[in-house]
Amino acid sequence: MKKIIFIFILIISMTSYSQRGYNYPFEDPYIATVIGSSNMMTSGVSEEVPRREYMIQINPNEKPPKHLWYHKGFQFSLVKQNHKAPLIFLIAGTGTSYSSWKMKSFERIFYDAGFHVVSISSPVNPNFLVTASNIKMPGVLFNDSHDVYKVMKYIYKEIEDKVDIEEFYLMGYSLGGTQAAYVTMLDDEEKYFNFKRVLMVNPAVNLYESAKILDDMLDNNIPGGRKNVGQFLEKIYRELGQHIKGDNVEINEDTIYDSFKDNYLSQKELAALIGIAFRVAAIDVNYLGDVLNKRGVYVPKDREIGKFESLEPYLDNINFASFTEYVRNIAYPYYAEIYDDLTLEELISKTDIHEIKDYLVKSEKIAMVTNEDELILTPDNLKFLKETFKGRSIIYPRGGHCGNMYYTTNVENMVRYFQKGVLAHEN
Amino acid sequence: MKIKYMIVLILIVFGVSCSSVEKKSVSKKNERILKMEEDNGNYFRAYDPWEPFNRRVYYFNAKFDEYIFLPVVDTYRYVTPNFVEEGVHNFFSNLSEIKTFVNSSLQLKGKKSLVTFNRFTINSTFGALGFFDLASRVGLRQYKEDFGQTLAYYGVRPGPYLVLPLLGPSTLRDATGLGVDTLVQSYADPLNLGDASRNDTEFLVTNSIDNRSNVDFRYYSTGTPFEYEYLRFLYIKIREIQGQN
Repeated sequence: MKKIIFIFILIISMTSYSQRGYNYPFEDPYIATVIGSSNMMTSGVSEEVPRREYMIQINPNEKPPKHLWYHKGFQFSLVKQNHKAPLIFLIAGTGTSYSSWKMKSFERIFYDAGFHVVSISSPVNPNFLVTASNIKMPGVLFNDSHDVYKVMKYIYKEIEDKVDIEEFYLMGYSLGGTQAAYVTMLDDEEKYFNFKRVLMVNPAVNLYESAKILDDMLDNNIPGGRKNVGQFLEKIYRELGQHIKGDNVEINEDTIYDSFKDNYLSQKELAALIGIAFRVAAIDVNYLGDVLNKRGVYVPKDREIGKFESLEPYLDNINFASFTEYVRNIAYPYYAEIYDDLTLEELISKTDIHEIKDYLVKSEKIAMVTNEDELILTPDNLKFLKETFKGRSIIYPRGGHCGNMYYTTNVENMVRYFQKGVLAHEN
Repeated sequence: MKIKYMIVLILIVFGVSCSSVEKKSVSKKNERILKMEEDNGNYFRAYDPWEPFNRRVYYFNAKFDEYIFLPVVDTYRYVTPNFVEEGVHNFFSNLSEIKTFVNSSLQLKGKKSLVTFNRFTINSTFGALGFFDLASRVGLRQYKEDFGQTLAYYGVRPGPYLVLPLLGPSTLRDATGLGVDTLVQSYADPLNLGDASRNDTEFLVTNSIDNRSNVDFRYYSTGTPFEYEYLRFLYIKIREIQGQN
């Protein structure tokens, strides 16, 4: 009887959902990406949750280089229920820290939904790279996901006597979503956590292709390219300053949105801003991949940088290097030394989720959500996701890259999936 | 809240991933075009001849935060009821209106001076020496001006970047301004606080705790190897923008 009522409610909610349509407010994928991914677009989520930060040693025999002394250990956070509850691991997107606004927002949502929540930085994040990465040359999905899986076990050992755990769940967004699939595959062999359900939110399909799209956002949308980032930003400040009405107005998402709506900020300019945001992460990866492996590209091979030394010469050398340049100039030569005859194409194929397609097709516990207008996917990428996940996916009509993660409908669907295993499917 | 402004700039410049609460105000009248110091591809470059010293102070500040400042701030937050915390914050914020009033006047910004004067009068009387910010509730907006901005207004360049012990990012010009503002504030004393505002250690300490408690920035917390460079860049940019208001 209970089951029948449940199905009945489900049908009602699904029909009402389709009548209601998808009311996500931002039509433009760029504005969605900028604004939606930094605003809680659903009401009633707790502001404060019982959150604690931890630092653990993953590779105790390794010491960070002197000038990176502050990466003393691997950091993560735990939000804990005071009773027995399921635990969800969250993997952050490209370069993002466990303590970013995005991760904290997911923590609040999942805490309210009754989960213990563990937040893990992206394997491309500096703290992860320095303190927990095995190869320290990120991008190869198997390696990075192996690192994430290893770190999860260490985390579990650290917290197991502090929390009462019912069962394990896993979620990642963006690059973290892609890695979540690999981690699940590793765990299916080992059965350490035996995840009950896994959700990939706005995952990348081919990291190299997505990286290229993000690189181009900066390089193609700023007149004169990267050497004019400075002038470009000055221009944006001026435009925002001039066009905002009134004597003193606050610059926030609303004013950016208004200036975009009123055509003061063009789509090109927004794209460039997104490109710049990702480029900052790319600069870190370029630098760390080089210096942690002594590749001698930006920093001379034998140079040991002192604790208080200026990094400006190296920042000059990096000169806004992109993800693509990282792959070509740092990662590829490195992997080519390890694996003889490795071609660039072969390396790129190791950044592509196609390599585990057979697993994804039959893995019932993994679901996926993304958007029709997702910025980091090529049309082929999107087609691949649709064909692979079929009924285990929702493709929302709008939202850009991660711009609707915190939108009411998305949050409801996500939580319902984890709690009940039902992924409302309506496009 | 310089740092708070910085976070907003990060939001605008670097960030698709920042909180929505941080805000920054900018006037429409910033016609003056910013001139880039140089254009060699490294946008984060700044005039920083004292970098070796600055980096050490940066490190010192981080350690001071870790072992003394932040534990004290946390304790303060823990033991103090929220409304008292807010009251204390309003009290010091109200005192800082003196600085804004003086510097708005020096820059011949009539409206700002007037609004600030009214805010100070309302809050100091009906707001019980500033513990309650009634002026904001009746729609009088708080402005911020300091002597560093006044110097900038009259054409003084920022000079070398300077990391101040305990206080963080500054420049030679702004540090000088800070000294002048502190002097003016302690001697103006329209609230008749007497020697308290000049000599009383508790007064100073409480002021510092309140300041630190309202700045979310944590040294080395961004994790990026270039935090020093980025923070320096943001500080200098924000002061440029503030100078245009």
